[in-house]
Amino acid sequence: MTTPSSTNAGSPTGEDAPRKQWMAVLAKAPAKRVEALATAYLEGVADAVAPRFRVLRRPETGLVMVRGRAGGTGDPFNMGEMTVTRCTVVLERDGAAAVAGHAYIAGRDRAHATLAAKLDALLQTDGHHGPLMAALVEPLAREAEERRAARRRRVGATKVDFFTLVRGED
Amino acid sequence: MYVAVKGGERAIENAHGLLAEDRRGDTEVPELTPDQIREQMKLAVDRVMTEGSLYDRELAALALKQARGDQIEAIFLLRAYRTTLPRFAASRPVDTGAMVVERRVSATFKDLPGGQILGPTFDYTHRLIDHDLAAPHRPRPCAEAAPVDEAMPRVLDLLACEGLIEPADPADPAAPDPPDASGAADREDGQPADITREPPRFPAGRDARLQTLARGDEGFLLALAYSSQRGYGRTHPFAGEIRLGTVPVCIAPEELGFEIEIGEIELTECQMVNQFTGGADRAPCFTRGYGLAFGHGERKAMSMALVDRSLRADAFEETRDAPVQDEEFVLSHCDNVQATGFVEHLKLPHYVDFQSELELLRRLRREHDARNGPDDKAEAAE
Amino acid sequence: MVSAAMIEPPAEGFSDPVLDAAECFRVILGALATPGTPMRLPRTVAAPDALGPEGAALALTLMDFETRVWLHPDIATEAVVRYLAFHTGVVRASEAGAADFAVMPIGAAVSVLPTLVVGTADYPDRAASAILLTDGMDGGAPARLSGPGLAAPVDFAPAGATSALWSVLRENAARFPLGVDCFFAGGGAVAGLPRSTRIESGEG
Repeated sequence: MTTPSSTNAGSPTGEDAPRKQWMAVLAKAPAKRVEALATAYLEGVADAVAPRFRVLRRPETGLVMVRGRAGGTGDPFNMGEMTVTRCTVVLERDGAAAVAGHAYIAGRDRAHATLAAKLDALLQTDGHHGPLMAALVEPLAREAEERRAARRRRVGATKVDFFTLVRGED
Repeated sequence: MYVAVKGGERAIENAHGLLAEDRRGDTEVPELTPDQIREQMKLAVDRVMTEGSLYDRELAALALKQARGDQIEAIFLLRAYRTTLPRFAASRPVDTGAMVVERRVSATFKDLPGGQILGPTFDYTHRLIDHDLAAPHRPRPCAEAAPVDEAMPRVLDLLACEGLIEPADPADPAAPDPPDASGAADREDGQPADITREPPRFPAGRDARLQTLARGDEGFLLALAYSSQRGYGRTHPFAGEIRLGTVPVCIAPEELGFEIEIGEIELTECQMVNQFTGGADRAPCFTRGYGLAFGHGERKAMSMALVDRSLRADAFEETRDAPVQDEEFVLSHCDNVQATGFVEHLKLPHYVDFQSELELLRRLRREHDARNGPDDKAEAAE
Repeated sequence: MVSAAMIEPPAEGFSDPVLDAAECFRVILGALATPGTPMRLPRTVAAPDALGPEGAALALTLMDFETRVWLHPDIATEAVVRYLAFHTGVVRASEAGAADFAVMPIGAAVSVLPTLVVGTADYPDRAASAILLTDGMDGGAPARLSGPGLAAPVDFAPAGATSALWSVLRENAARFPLGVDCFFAGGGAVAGLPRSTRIESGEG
């Protein structure tokens, strides 16, 4: 493993798109899958460069008020709340600035939020970004896409085929 | 006078024990797990989430188990739970136009982009008890076909193109302005009203109305919607579109400074199309009623949309003479946790209240008897 | 603004946000109930300098993403702004008159306090609360406080208090039931001064 440099792979210039994408993948993937892939990845990291984390905000469950829009496109209104669990960790690095990793994950799974925050920090470092994207984020995104595609095919089978009844001429 | 009475602690404790035993039922029968409820009693879970105003499938399933299947009790449990949690953020308004559709039907247009998608529906079942379900069984494998479109246009946009339906843009001119200064102040920072933070005021804005209806009792709203169809405040509705599917939920935490997706939720949306004959200076056009529910809740979303439209009577200069058009009546009575609290509190001790009533009645009776002589019938009854 | 949070994490907040805030809240309630009586907070935090441990503990206890805070320019350092954003999610108000909370050095209070929201007759609870940061609870111009919560008058002279400040606070109290509630924070203690307190100062 290379020593992480001080640049952040996510958004050194305010370009947040890649980070938003991996945070979304980590939030939506089943906790068990994130854990399995993360464990496998971290086991492959040499002890000498094993990441050291400090918890800045312990995993904490709270609420997000979900908003809708009147008529689907009109003025916003408060529809109801959902549970969410957040966590912030700091990745300590020798000879480089510490990196904060954040997670906000629907539901009440503290372990999922903690792990996602750690992965968010690692994904911002040059050393871990590439390998983690390949070993974890991309496979999780692919699995989600496969689940969705399978469901869309089943739902597609319930699409109505209208046909017109033609009356006889005579 | 209010007199506190103590006692019954042991009886209460034992009643809880009996409740726990009865909840479990016959121990020869395997115990239900919340997972089973979540997966196999989905529509019950969805209703508890919607009216509990908290999207959390696991928690709603657990609440149903604890409540022995009593929906309002489970809703109450969810409402109580939410008060113990801090609120971190409000989401960006969800975009139901970008919904990954599981079901989407329109009763107004046969042919529409994306098509009519029936999805998992009871609509065409024969409502005959299926005795096969009494034994463990494995459903037939689902058919597969060309996948449904990634996102589907809203049916009502087809009418909006021609200007035949009122617009549903932000700052809808049909929405009445908040009548007082403090209501307007709430909106200065662009935040919609929140009935869980601010006490209700009448007339309410449409934002407060929709929030109240979204958590309102399905049965109450269903009955009101039905009354409007039968002529008590008729609105000539058509189900413009009903869609069920998942949407992402996004928030922008202060510490990040950009928007992130925290997960997906399933929603049911109903867009009603209603007739409007036009007003003094407005051409006739179609109008809208809107319903939105957590999970799969078509009956709820449709009822909500009908009641929403009825409550907009003032905006269309319609006379308000039916119960469904009476905002204060509808919004003050649609919450089943409030309602059950007030109705069910009657079974709690009112010993002192009742004693005073009893004494008053006895005195009135003595006075009555003194004036008119004893009542023969009452004598006989005693 | 994005990468800043990533590169240099904010200072730590309460170690147990729920319990620590609840314990502080209890003391803050007591401070408002017994005006002008310095109290020690059971928990403080490693706060950015401009805010100080007591100011930060008040902020973490009282503010959340549904409240709006106005920070005096001397307080609104990048470290403080980031700290409050991370730990409370509080929204910055563009001007003092639009804030639920206003945080200022005690020396700025004379000009800031008269601009804060004082509530309405229907909702006097919608008034702003002011947090006045000071070096300590003595050494300033004294005032004699009396009224609800005080069995006997007490003398209160937080560092940096001036007769002009007491004069502004007297005008504030004259509006009761409208008016601003104040906290003094710093030097290891907090003290409360609700709008209901009567204020007499030497220079009158």
